[in-house]
Amino acid sequence: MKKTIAGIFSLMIIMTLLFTSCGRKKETTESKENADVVLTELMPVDTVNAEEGDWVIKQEMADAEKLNPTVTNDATATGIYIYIFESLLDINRETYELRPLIAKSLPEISEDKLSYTFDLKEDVKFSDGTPLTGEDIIFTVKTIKNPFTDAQALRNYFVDLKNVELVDGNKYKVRFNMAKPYFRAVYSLGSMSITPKHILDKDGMNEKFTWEELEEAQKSLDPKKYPEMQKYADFLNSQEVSRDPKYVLGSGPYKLDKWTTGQSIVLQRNNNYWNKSMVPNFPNKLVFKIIQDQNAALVAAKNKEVDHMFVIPPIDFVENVKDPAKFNLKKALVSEPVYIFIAWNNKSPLFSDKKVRWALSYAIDRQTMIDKIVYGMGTKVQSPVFIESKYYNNDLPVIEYSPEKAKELLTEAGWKDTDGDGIIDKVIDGKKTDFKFTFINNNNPKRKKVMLVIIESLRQLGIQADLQEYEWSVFLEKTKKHEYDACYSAWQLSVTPEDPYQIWHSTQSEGEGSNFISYNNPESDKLIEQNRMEFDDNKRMEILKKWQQIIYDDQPTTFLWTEPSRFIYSDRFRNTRWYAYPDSPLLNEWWTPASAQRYQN
Amino acid sequence: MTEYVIRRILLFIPTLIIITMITFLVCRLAPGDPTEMKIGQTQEAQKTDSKNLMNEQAKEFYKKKFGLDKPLYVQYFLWIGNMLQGDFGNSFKDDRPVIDKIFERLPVTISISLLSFLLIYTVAIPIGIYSAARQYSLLDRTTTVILFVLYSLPNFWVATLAIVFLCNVEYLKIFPTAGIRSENFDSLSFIGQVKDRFMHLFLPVTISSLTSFAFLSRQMRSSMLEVIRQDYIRTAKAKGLSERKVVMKHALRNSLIPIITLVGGLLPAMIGGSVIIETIFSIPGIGQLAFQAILDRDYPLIMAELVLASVLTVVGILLVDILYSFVDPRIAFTKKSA
Repeated sequence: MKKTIAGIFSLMIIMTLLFTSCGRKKETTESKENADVVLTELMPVDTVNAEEGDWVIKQEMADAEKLNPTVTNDATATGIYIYIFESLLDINRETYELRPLIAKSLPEISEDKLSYTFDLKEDVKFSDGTPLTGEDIIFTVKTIKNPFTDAQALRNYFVDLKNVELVDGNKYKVRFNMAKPYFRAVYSLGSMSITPKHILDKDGMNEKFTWEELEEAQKSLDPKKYPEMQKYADFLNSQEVSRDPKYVLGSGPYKLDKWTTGQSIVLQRNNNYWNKSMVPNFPNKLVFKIIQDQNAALVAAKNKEVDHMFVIPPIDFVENVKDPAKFNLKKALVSEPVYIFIAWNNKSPLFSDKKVRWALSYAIDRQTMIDKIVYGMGTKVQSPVFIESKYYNNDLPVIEYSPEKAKELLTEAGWKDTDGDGIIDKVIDGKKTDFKFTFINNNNPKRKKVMLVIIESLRQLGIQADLQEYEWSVFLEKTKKHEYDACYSAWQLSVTPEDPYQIWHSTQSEGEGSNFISYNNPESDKLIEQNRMEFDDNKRMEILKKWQQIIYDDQPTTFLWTEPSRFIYSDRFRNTRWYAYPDSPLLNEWWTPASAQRYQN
Repeated sequence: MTEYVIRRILLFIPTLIIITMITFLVCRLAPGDPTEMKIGQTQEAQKTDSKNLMNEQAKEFYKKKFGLDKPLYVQYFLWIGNMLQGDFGNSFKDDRPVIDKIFERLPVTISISLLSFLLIYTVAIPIGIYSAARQYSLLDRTTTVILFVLYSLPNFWVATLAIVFLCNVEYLKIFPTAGIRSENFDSLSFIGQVKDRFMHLFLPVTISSLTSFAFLSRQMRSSMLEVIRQDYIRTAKAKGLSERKVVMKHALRNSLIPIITLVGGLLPAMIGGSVIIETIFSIPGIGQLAFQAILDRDYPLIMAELVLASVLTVVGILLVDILYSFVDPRIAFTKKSA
């Protein structure tokens, strides 16, 4: 007994010592690390000597909710079902252009831009061997249009779809008829994951629902009037359909093998896969292992318990995996279509003046924050479009840090310290108002650091800003309800042609829309509407560039930077290609030389 | 006795109603919106282009579906009506019945709690007895210090340190970092499976025991000290009984009484503590589930977990009361007839 207690005691002392010494080491080396931030290049395809076998174990922060693509919209599930289900078209991840997958070619679009006709490949099979036909596509659309299914989020993208039909009864030719022209319709239609009718609707219940009925049901939303539709929706929403491998079945390169709640989701190679020559499926299994705690996940990667993970805190990526080779790991830094910004509530009397917003943008030292907080892993952006896409307006000058200009603009806008309390003030609506406000944050340490730096720079201009931390769901609620002054936020963009409508159109600032900064400029609204109706890519590019200029002039938010994604992965894999288009990477194309394979069967 | 137990069980009903009422209110009055959490955005960046973007209509749809559009008291009565029929509703998050979600995870949490219990009692009681019998000896003093240190260490901190230093190839790689089984668990031999389980459970069980372990052995020590000073112990010693016999036979039984009371409090505390331990070690138990449910504002799941925890507490207290009368005949529940 004495010995064990003494042992525990000494172990604790050692642990404490190690811990404190680590802490000190970090502080001293912090500034030297920024030297070489190099994005990982997209390597050429390397599958000549590819060998099948091995597993890829990827760490996930949270369990998936549902794996049926029609009724799910959580981030984890999306990253998993892409290996199980397929769509008519997919995105070429090098050119970001659409390309055919289940369709033989890109659709034939009618003159009035209202109907899209797809010719289907005839050798496409679900993993149980049943051919995939136009019937499955019609079925899937009907489940989305059924107002009682949990496809609400997806349904938004199919509002303007009137109906889908087989052309001349040909099972391999389908036509989608739209009510309104919209340039992104082809993306929504093309990326819809196709589910099997012969499994999810054995009795053909959906055949009974006509398109008109579905439309009417959507308007009335009364389940009593449409008991059959409700009954089918109950089945599709049920847990079996989204969890049981019997129902979670698609035409993709992998099939669901086993889902152990809260622990892991295992996909097994689909050996009958129809498209092996184009879409390889080298690993025997793809395992998505749930490790909630970031520290634990990083240790698990070093221990080879996990093969691949996304590293959230920049400090972990730089400091805690300094020498990845020691753990047979590699790092990848991949540009991601995302931008970070400080949102100013444009409705607040403090920020409604354009001059004030410009002053704030000048007052923020972005370069120093990029260097110190994200270890140089960031590129300044000037507009809300993916910086690497062709739609980005490169003519917008970078706003350099300049407290002098900020001060000047604030004075011009009428903000002066009249009472000598160190805080600038102005008479608004007959009342003297101090420039005081609160940033809100969602308990994210990186964001907090950024805001503390900003608060300090603002203090020097006589602006008093505080920081209030909230839990994520409260944070979201506050921003959606416009109950905030300013906050740090980020939008993940698409690499495909942008439609700024949801975030920037003034109609979206009403209620709880996504334009939570309440940006309102009729000129911008007009361009956004034009962009939606324009099918010519070059013209759209012009419109978007003009629109970015307007946003830039208004500075409704202060655009900070774009940050690459940070990954670590086991060095035994070959053909690890990193794309900017989510979901990246594609684990099905990774392979391991036979001698280095870690897992059998 | 039976009458007493029945009376106590009947008292459960108002207790539970009040508990559910308060928790229901607290749940709803706290800010945060479950429909917002259906969006499936990551905290790092919200998505602009994808079906993840939610609009007003979608939020309305979910509000209606979850019944959040009704007045609060109606929601409460609906909930309690369903609960009395054994229906705790479906989780907002994945539409699975809440009962299913809890029961598939309950065995994990219970087995960790039971193992910790076992560990706590088998270690803490002997330490307590020993340091009481040898009061102010060197061992007594060292254990006192060590136990106080253990008692004051927050278990999330110890858990994180343990992961970094005992599960890490950089320092010591003894235990796995996360979960309750390896990925290749199914292909292991029986012995291998037992070993795999042991290695996975060792840290969570030990760390979740630390605090209670220190607490309990201190309790044991002081109650033993109190008993040892009683007259009948002096008598026993005067009779010439060996020290060992005096302590183990005469003192122990009486000093155990306060320890038993603690069982009732430890069980719910364990379930509460499991929230932290399970989240850090990625253990799929109900603690982890509760934590996630609260973050997601998954009301049906939160309510079900709270009902479960309160039932456990109430049952724990009742069990303790009954145990009392077994250990100590002086305590009787039936009214003495006048």
